Amino acid sequence: MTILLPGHMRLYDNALPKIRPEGTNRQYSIAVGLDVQGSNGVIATVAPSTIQYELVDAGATELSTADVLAVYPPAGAEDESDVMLPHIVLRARSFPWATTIQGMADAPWVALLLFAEAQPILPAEPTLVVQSNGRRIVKVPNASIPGLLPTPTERSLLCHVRELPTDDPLTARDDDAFVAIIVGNRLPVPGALNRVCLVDLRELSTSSDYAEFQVLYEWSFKVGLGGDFEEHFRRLRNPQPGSAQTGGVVALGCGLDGLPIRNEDDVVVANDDGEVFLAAPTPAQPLRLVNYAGPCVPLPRLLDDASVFFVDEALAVRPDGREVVTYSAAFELGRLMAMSDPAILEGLVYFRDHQFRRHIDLALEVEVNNAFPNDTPAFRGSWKDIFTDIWGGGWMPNAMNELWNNGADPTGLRDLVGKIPGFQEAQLQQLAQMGGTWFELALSKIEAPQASAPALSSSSPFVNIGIIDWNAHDVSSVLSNMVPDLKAVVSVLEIDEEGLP
Amino acid sequence: MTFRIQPTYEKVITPPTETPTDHTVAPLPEAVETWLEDLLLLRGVPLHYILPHPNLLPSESIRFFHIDPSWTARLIEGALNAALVGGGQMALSREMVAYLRKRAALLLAGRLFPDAPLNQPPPSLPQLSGMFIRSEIVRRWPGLNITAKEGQNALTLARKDRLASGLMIAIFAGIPDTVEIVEPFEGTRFGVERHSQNEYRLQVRKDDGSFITGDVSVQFRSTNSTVLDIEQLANQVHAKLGLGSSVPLGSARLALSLQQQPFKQIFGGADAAETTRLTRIENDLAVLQAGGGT
Repeated sequence: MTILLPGHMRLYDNALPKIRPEGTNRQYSIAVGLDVQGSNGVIATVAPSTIQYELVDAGATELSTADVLAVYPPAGAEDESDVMLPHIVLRARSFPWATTIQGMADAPWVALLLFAEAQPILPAEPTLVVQSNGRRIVKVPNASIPGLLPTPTERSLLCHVRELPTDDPLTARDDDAFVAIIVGNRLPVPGALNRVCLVDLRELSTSSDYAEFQVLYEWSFKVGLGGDFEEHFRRLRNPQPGSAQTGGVVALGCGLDGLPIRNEDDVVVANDDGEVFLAAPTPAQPLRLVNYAGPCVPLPRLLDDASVFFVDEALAVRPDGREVVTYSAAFELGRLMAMSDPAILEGLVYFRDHQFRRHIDLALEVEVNNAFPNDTPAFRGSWKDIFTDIWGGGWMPNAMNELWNNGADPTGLRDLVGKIPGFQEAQLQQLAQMGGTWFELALSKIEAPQASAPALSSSSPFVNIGIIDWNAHDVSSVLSNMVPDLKAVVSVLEIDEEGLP
Repeated sequence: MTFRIQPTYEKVITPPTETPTDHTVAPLPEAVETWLEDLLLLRGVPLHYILPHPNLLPSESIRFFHIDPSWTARLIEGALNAALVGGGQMALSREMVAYLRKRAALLLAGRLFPDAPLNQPPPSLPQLSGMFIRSEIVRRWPGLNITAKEGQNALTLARKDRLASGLMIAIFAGIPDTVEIVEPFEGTRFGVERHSQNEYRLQVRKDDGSFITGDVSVQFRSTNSTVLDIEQLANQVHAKLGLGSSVPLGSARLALSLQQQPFKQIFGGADAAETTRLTRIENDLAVLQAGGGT
């Protein structure tokens, strides 16, 4: 026996057990003897003793879920195909042939019976009955037996053994690579609850009306209407005449005739671009139509790479005067989608703010690189550090001017004008004239105060701010000289881009 | 007609290699980047924006489409516009908006082609195309396997989602010439094939699993019964296999023929209606380019 390669399987007609409790050969004997071999031959012998066994059919019991590897269709399924036969997969490969009926060695003693509940189509469908002792039986009306039960030959044809490679995923739940598969002989009934029972065909009892069979395993499922997967696709590809506006497989925006789609009144409602004509009435133009195409179009298009900044930029007008709102609608939709999601909107605003701060970084870096082409100060971590690392040079006023003149207020003090008693525009201008540099110097809490205030040239714009004590260690002290009520506020000011959300 | 129609396929999005002049780019929050990438795949876009007229996608239909890259570009630009609450330097510049849009495409390409060689330029996002399936098929077999090919090369499936119980969208990274839809694999199944309301057939397999040309008729025990006449079916399979009277059919051979493989539906090429449509559009374009139309 060759080893099965992955992806292969081997099928067998049956797996007949060596001994079976059926017929006249139900008695078996086991003989056990012993010969002890030495180097010169047998040195001891134990005479064989024979044990007689008689195999007794103890009757069948219901199978547990451990005995059943799988069933198809799955139990409880709702939309199964009506062209697939039910089957059950059993771990014990010889189970269907474990005993015989009327001496027929190859005919299994079990079969799968399928019957429909709610919508019977046989003269009389079998019924599942649970007896008072919990035993489940199937009552098959005698009138239905010839048309339902498989013949002995059919039972043989409906049971087989399958061997799979040991590494096949389907064998993962089995103790060996062999399973017995029992297939039903009846297609499911559409629209009905189909119950499948693995039954012991050795009848429990018969009457003039029905025969009873013990149930070994049972499950039920429903069948969806319309056939199997293939049948659905066949119908979908070939819609019936009269349904020209439905079904079929074509490009989006087209009818089955290859022409742009029409509405129920046979009025064209789209063009070859995939644009539909939407009503957009105005008081002056109650019948106004605009063209709109979604993102899915029937023909490939190239990217219009020119960015749109305002929604009106995305509007287009056809030579015939018809407005095309395709891209303006997309633009507005994107805006609304972003605004409808607080997390996204917050992220975008954060990015914009951050970008602005980084833009300042870049501007200052350029200034510093220009001022110190051979000795770039190491202040790249935080733009604020340049105020503590570098005494004001020729480049600094330029950088500060760029900040202040472009409306940026790194101190946040502008917002406080008028809100704090004594802090008015005049005081702010006074601070602004400082160019920001000196103010920031004080603000940054110099850990090692300068021994003395820096020598300011008479031409410095900061000279006239004599009221500020530059030897103060913090900005609160500095500002308290100017605006006493500002002290508490300034003491908690932070100028740090890391403070952004 | 518009003038944007281009009958040829081009990779239109080029990856940004450097930031715009005079700009620095701070990191965009990852959630926002992913969200922007998803917009390119139309995730989150309301269905009535995608299908603005019910006749675009009737019941029991499949519709193939191309994604208009300008539409998704405007969508992203609109989204970025939501943050432009200030003016001057507080606003994102046009260059930055274009950069972010292209960056989203680049990141999506990286997500779709994670195995691209590192020593090569980063993959760019190709033209996207796709298909809608509105059918009972989607409801009953939600795990449809969809494969798109361009020649012998399988295209990356950029998106496959159920938008509703019976509606599925699939988007391919590229423009396929063949699309295969395969029934979800459900293990072993035994059954027959229905050819018409009351006609069932069975394809017979040889011992090696290959099919024999032609099939056999499947009979039932009685009219209006769904119980198969297994003996009669076995005789037909036996005859079809030409086994001879001395070789029994056996349950193994019958099971081999009854075993059903997952069905594969292949779409490829243009049918008569599609050919007519494309010819008509090409003629219209020729007229326009010749200045004969408006």
